[in-house]
Amino acid sequence: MADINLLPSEEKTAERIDLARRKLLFVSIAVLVFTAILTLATLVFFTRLVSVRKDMFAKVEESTAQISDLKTTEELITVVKQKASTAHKIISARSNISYVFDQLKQLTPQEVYFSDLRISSGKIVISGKAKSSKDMNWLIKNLTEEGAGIVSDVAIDSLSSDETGAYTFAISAQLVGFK
Amino acid sequence: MNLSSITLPKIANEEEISKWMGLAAPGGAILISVIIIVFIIWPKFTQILQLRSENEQLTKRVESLDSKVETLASLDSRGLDIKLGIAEQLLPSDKGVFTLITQIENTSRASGVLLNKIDLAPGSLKDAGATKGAGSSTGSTQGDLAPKIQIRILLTGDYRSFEQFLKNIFSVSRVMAVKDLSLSSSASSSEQTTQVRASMTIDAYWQPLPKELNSIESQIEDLTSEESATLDQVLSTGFIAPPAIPPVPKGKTDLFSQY
Repeated sequence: MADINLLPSEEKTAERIDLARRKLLFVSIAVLVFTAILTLATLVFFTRLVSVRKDMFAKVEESTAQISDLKTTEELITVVKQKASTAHKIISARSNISYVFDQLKQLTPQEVYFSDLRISSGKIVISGKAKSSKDMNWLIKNLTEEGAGIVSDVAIDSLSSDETGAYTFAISAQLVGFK
Repeated sequence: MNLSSITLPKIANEEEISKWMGLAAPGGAILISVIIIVFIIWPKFTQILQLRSENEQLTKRVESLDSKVETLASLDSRGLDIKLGIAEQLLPSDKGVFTLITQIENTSRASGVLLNKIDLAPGSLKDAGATKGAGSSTGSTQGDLAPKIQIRILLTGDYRSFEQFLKNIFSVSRVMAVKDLSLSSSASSSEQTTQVRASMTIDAYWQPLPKELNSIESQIEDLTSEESATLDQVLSTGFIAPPAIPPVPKGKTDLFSQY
């Protein structure tokens, strides 16, 4: 036997609307509670951050005052640091001519002497005399091999002998590490 | 006239309205919540993000300042005074022309060479910056770490004394560098030691005092071990003050009378 729906259609609609209203009421309460909690949390967090910022500003002011009190010390260390740093850099970079002379003394054969020596723009030009070609040979050999630490690109600019067999020479080279 | 047939639709409308009104209240509450979220919470949230970022920066700033205070407080100002004296020896704050001349004269005397000539043109003594084109005084150029004053000297003596002079010039407290050097012998073969004639250009460095300090937040850099060693080297020589230039009697009646 078929079911007979005895409820009128108006009543059915009214039930549906009532159910929807209750659901909506529940959702609206939930949203309201959520909004209230969120608002409260946001305001509390915001207030705390503002308070932290205030404290930070106070600390910055305090530290700034302390630094101002120590200004003399700051000036001293700044000047000392600047000068010591620059001095150290210059001393480290400057050419040690004494060392070049010490090395040249060790590399030059005994039967060779210099009459003129010029150092300019990292280039050394030496004029002098060697007793024999043998001495001259060893001078050049020593400079190019053992003297590689102080000179490079050794060149013989002039070489001439006299009636005694002595050689007058002019050699040039680049000084290593010279600025 | 049938009155009931006229009033019934009105009652039905009121029922409808009350039904929909029941829905309007929660709907309005949701709408108000959305309005609160959009117009109050969201802007505050943006402000919170901004505040957090600002506070983070402030925290770093406070830490940096605290660290600077700690560093400055730990420095010994008396020790720094002494170090400043030494640093002034290395790099004077002005050109220090006559101190330089005195140092070179003393060095040549101590080395046993005869100082034939000193040639320099320092230019303005007050000038703290670059003075160029004065012949022997230059400011800081691209390759230079500090302004310098150039001095040309001519000296004669035996070779060993010259070598000693070179060594001594490097041990002078002021930072100097020998640039150009010309050395020629003027010896006769009979002599035991060769007489040499030397001319050289010496760069003597100086560094003006800084006109202002860095920003308050810039950190203090302490001296490195190498820099301390450079200062200690001067300290070890005992010369923590520039060479004194002795006073001379003053006052003259005739400005053109010879001494």
